[in-house]
Amino acid sequence: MLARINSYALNGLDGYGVTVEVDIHAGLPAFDVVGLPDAAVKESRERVRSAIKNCGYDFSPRKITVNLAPAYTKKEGPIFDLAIALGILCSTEQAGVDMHLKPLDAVREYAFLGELSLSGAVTRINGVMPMLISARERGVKKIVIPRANANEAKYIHGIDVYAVETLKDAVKLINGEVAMPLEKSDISIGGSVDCGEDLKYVKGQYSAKRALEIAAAGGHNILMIGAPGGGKTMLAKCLSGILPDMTEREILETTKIHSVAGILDCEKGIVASRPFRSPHHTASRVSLTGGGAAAKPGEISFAHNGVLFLDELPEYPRSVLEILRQPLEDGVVSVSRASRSVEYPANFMLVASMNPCPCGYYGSQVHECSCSTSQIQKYMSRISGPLLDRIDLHIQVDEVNYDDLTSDVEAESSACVKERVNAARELQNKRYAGTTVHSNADMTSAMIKKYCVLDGAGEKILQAAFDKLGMSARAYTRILKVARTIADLCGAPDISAKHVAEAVMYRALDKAVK
Amino acid sequence: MLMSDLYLWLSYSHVPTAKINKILQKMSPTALWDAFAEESKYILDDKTFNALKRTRNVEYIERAKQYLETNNIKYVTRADPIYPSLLMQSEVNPPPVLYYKGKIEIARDPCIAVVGTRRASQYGRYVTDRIVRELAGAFTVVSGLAAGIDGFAHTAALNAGGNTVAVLGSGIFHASPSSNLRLFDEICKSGLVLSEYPPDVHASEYTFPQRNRLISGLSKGVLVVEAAERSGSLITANCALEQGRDVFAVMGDVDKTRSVGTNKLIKDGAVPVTCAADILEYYSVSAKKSEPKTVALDFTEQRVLDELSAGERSFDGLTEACGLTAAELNTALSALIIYGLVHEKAKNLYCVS
Repeated sequence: MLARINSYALNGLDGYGVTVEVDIHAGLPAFDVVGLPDAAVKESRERVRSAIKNCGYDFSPRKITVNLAPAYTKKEGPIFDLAIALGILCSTEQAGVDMHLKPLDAVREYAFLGELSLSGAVTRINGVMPMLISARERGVKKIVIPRANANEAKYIHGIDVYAVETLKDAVKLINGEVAMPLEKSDISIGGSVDCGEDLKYVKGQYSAKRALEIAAAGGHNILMIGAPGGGKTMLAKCLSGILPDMTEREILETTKIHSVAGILDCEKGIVASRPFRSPHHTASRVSLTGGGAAAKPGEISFAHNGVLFLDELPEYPRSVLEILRQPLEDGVVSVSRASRSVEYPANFMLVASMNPCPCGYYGSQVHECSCSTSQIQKYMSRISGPLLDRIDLHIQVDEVNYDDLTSDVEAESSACVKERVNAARELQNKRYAGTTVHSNADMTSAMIKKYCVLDGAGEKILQAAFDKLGMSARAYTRILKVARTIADLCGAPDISAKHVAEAVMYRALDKAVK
Repeated sequence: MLMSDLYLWLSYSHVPTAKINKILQKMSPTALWDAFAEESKYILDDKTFNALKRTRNVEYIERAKQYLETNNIKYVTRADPIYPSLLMQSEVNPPPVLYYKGKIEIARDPCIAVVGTRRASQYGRYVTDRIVRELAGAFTVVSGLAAGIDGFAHTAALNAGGNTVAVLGSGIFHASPSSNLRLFDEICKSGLVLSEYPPDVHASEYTFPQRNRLISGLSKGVLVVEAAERSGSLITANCALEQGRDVFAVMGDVDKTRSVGTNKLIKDGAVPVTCAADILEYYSVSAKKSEPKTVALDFTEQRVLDELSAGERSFDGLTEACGLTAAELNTALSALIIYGLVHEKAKNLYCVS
């Protein structure tokens, strides 16, 4: 007998319906899966066989053919296990039939997702959230998922989701037993962020802390330059604590990517605080942008709506850094492979740190630098102009002296800073409502012209800064954007000379070129 | 034969300058040319004889002159009145010809050489910039176009609108290092680039120490900004002593390797220097005073300036001393730097200019 079970699959972040057809007929005992399955799908034969047997059902040797339709797309992963097992049970008339062995309608109402363990338990799968969103858009009404994925599913409204723990639970559903769908809840915005570091424990470094606040408020990319041991990494880690709260749109966007990649926290179910990704400098290009045969998302997409922290920037291979340029500009990365082409959002804030020279101590008050001028130039030139061009703030982070380290003065806490950052972001959200831009850093040229108008005094001080400090022309728009954010932090509607003057201070590299 | 052509002959023979000067003590260039085969055999070794013989050809010299002209390279020989008079001293071992690009007359103005290590620290860069800016008003600044202090000295002199002379250790076509080539072009335009070697000569390990004697030879005094224990700039200082020039040295921390050389110079009798005025006073020259700018400062800016007048402060130190937030302090500092009242001496370390 032929059985059809609905299931669902993903291509990038978009889903599509898959019908699992199981046919059992006479012939030499065999168990074949067709429809471009990958290794994990082929292995599901073994899992399905054991799961059926261990749940107390019959699995006698027969010729079984499983087709995953549409047959022309590649199927990946173990998500069809549950549907295949149910298909076999239905076609052997062990499930989904009434007492007269007539097929029930219930089986056609549901779509089934889930991996099976040998014992028959339904275990966690990746990509549940994007699949649910996509299934809802395609009119699927009821969907069955593993209990372990229930937390991420409860935030998707407009579709009935049933969580099962074992194969037997799923059988009950298709036998027509009435079950309660998952209770939905709303995404709560804000709340505490459990991050490792708090700004109040950072001694001194007032200028750097202020620059971080500005970067967080306007979504600006920031580069920290300083000797080893200056606290660059600690400052970067503090950033998570002061980033503005995510909006519901941002939470859903980021969670979808994390869900697909399988890095979502099962307990939380959603990414409620901005992601902070810090790939090591041995990271490959594909690991950053995404790719592979399956065109999976990479680190820059994991950092979507959050922070991509590159510690020791010049240590990254040039080819790896250069690929960041296009996503930094467009906020998306298009991963194209022979079999498919997928677009992943990658609107991240780049936070980078580096030493000023190969030995690390150029300009240090404490240690002596042993590098020649050409060595320093060579080291700095590892970071290309076009990449630096996309970094709005560069700051010097110097070593902390002993007195500061031991002082008891407690600095402002991350929570206080976050309040100001949230207020500034609120202003920006209002200003850019209805556009694709969400922060000052993403402003288009037209917006800069509209929102970054300088008064006479501001114009004058910017002119003087260019003359005096020998700044490059590309610094101009960067300074304007940063000045806009500084004004937002003050709650000022217009940019004044003071805001421009402060913004000029965060262009350490432009000043060094002199 | 013109006297200047004879000197060009000697220069193009590539015989080392010291040897040429030895020969010239015994006979004049004219005599050497006229009676080349007969008399000179007795005073020349074979190698020198062959080298001079190879180029002793009127046509060859005419061609060389044409080559220099088409390539826009000027030259001045010892026969010319414009030849820098300080070089004529025998201790300097004056080259027969100087090839140059730019304004040769500035080499006859009073000059000060500013030299130092190629591995300059931020301190060295800052001190060079500060001293040279003031010196440039009264002196032509001579240096060797090397990376590090040399380059900073040229740049500072140009920025201050003063004159600067770069003495090369190679022919003008092979100026190095490549990182200073843009600076080279700028000096050609508004200063003077000088070499004792014909334009096609490549630098070698012998030419750079030779070049140092010209740097000190052109100058009244040599200022060494930063030098390690064994540094090329100490060769320049030695040349200066041999030539009877004054040696100045910038004091540095006793434990910094880059200041070992300069501190040693001071121990050995060099004039310690902390600011341009030390050198200007030594020669009783007054620098052109720039009129003190009058800028209207607001309350916080004035407060920061007062705090800095007491001595250099770090950013963190200033925040605490003035009781300002980082934002306020950055705003004030930025304005003060733009007005030219405050200088960022090292990263996050500020002082009054």
